[in-house]
Amino acid sequence: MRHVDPETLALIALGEQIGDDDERTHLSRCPQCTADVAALAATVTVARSVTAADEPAPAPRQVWEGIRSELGLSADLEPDGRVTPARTTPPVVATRRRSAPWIAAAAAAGVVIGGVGGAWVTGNRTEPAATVVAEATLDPLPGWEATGGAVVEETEDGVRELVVSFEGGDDVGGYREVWLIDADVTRLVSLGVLVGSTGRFTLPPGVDLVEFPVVDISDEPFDGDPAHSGDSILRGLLDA
Amino acid sequence: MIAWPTVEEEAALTSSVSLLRDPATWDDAEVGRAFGAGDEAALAEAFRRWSAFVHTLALRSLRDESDAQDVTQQVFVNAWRGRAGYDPARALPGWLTGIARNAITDVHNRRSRQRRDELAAVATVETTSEPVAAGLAERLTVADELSRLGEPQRTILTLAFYDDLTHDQISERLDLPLGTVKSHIRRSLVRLRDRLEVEDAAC
Repeated sequence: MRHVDPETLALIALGEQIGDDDERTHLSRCPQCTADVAALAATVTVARSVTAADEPAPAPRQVWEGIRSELGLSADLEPDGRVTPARTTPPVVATRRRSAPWIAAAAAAGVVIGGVGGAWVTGNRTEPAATVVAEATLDPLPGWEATGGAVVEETEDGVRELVVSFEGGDDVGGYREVWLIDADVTRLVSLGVLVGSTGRFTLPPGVDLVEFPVVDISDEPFDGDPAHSGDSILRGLLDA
Repeated sequence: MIAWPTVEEEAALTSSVSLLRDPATWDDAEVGRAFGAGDEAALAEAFRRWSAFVHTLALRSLRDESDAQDVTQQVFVNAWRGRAGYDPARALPGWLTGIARNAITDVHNRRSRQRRDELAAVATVETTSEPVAAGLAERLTVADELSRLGEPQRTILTLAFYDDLTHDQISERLDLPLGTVKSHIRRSLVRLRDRLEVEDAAC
């Protein structure tokens, strides 16, 4: 026997006198339809007992401020339903402080001067001043215990470099490769191999960081396949 | 062929990529998943969606604005710190309600201890009152979910609940097709029912 139309059951739960004889007969015999009406009718009963005093009273703003301060969250994090890029900043700073003091100092100044105290600087040549144009916290994927951060620097002559820091993840099976990935996780740009805890990679001039906002460090086996292994260690979203 | 992306990776990436989309556009389940994954935007969004409910529950139960605010803060702080224990398959508001009930009970207990201390001569002070009165959480839940319904759903349900109008009277009053009214009634009622069932499970 066909069940009663769900919309009709909802109206019956509200107490409307509807439905033909067949439907009423079915309802009296069908546990499924009866249970549906009963659950909706219980909801209606609660709803009809609601009074004006039950209207939600919004929590004052200082409650949110208290939460933010107790949890040490960024002052930019607002419960306004919008994306605030700045809110990715504090964890990045925290990560950097832990894992790579040299990036923290650079970010504090807002500028990275090439050649300032890093093992990654090659030679003694003077490099043009670079500005940090994007940054990201790199968070471990399930099964990995590693932390990291990434910043994108742009020199005065428009060359962009991705600087990554990496800590932990000792049990890498193969080698580490650094990627930029698009938001749909369908297209990838390989930037190169990461050796050690920091690395610096020149971005191809045509790469749009809005289009490829995800920084990914993967564990690659020595299998001769140049494609991404699918085994990512760290990932983060650039706030460019 | 490589496995790319794996389900696990997609899940992990969701919380990062969610930054690209305003949290206001996430459905409740997405807020829950991002919350569980430690996305701070999800905490802010959970506060935006459910802090009024938590605050009202605490206020109605404790009848003190300052205590209600403390409880509300504590609920979200505890939820965030304890998010490892949150199962994203469960509805986040239900989980928050459970935490709120505990926090409210703590305040009631603290008060009765204080009362007992103040009445040091009295051996026992029986507290028979329920921390959260029966039916209160359910009523507030429905009121909260009703306030969240868009239009014309909210008006339709208000007319059906409180003005006892039938669906054809509502259809006439609002100049909406009968089918539209019926389908809004069914869907909105189911939505209220689901949220209530979640609250029940949290008790």
